[in-house]
Amino acid sequence: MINLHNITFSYKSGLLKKMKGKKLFDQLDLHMQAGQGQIYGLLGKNGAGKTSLLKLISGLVFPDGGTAEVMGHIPADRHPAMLADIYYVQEELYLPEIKISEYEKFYAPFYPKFSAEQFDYYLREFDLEKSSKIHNLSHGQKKKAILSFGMACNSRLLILDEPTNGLDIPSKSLFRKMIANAISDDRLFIISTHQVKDVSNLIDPIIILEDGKILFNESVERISQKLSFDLEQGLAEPADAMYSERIPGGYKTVRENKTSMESEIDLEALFNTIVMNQEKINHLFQKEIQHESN
Amino acid sequence: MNPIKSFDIRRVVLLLKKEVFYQRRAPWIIVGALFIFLLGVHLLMASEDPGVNDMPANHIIFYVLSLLTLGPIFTSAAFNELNNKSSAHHYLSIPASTFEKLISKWLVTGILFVIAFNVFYFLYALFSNVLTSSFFGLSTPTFNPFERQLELDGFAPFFFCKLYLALHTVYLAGAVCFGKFAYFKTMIAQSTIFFTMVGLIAGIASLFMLPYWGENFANIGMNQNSWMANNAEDIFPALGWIMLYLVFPLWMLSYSYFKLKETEV
Repeated sequence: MINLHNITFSYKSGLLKKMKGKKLFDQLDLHMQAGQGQIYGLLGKNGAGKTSLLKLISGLVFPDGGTAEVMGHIPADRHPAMLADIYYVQEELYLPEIKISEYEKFYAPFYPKFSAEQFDYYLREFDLEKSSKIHNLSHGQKKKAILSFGMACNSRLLILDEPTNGLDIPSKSLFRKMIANAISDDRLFIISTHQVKDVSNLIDPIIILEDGKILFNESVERISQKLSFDLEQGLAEPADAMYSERIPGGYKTVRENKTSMESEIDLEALFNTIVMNQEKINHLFQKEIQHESN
Repeated sequence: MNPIKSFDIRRVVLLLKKEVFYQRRAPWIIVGALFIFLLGVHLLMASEDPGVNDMPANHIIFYVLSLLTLGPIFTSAAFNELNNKSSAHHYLSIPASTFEKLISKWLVTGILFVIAFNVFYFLYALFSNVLTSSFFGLSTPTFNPFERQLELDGFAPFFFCKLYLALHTVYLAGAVCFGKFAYFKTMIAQSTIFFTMVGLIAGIASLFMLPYWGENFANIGMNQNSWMANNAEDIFPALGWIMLYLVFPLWMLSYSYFKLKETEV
């Protein structure tokens, strides 16, 4: 569904936006496939290139080199067929100063698979009135409105950049429920977020981006097999842990999983472990791949 | 399911509906202000010299000034969505091709604007006529810009509409290219290009013509009996027409298309 090969990319700068700045992506390879309801989680520090990667996928920025293919289209062409099958909820929302019903009236016809019934249902669930003027809504309500619209578009690729920012606590769980219900075998969702706890049970596989490079791209199943996440009581810092973090009454730890027991993944701890132990992690997951190929 | 084509007239109509809906408020403020301004000037002129029956001639001046000022300002704001990252993201993500997006903007700022402007001016002329006849007893024929044959002091509204449709493509290109303050930037850019071109052409021509200064054109080498010399009066206006109404707008639209296509967020 998404194939990025040897992608190089740098933001243009200068008076006429022609000068190329520092390279953000250099020979980036990424392959994402729909199937079994996959919701890719894209994690990374600020400035790691998450939003740029999402924009590359949706044709909003163009690579300097390499090949990109999304659902059989070159994203930079911005072919209407591709745009009709992608819905991208951006972090910094822009919504015109109209009513929700007017937004539906003017934009829904561009999306052939848009379902008015689903849109009504999502709005009801989020406690929003269709007659509400978008510019009078709070940031969280705007987000709910655009998430409802995005999910009702039924596009094959749904890109959500920081979807839970601004959502209240009940809405976050409602959002998770809706996303889990909306995903199907022919659809692919990508969630880019810093609020990892909001989507911890939702995302699989997990991609970690660091300085424009894919540092980690693994399924939840493999992560659980290879790493164990524990809460250890005591004041002494565990010496053999790949990662430990002081919490009240003890430590949160990440270790190599040497048993067949699987623990629940703590995404924050996973992220920190990977960023701090790149070589060990590479070795650990590579070793597994080598064993599998043998 | 039908495959989605690169060009679909249905999507152009959808974009047009959206554009017209979005523009529904802003022009009314400008239209209202213009209406009051024109009416004020018109009544002032009528009160200054109520005996002179030159109101239709005044109308054509204000008509041309309003059309050629308001139109480019309106056109320069056509791609305001591209001025901000979030709104540019929203606009460029709309499932329509670059060509469809450009065509819809061209229709709104060109054809639809001209129609709306003429309706506005006709209504204004009608209203101002009623006022001047009731206050100053002036009875003049109503200025009707839709009258194809109307020509006052050598100026025809239809000619200026055609001219606007050709020239507004510069401002459309400027709207894609310059972003914020597109109107002023386009004015500066086109003036710079125009004067540079005039300077270059005049410079090159003077280099060739200098040795023949003050002599008859026949001495330059043009055969007075050639087809070119005999048809010069027809050829040059026709060439000018093609350049102004076809080549120039198409060139500007092509430039706008490629500029819009390469726009990134």
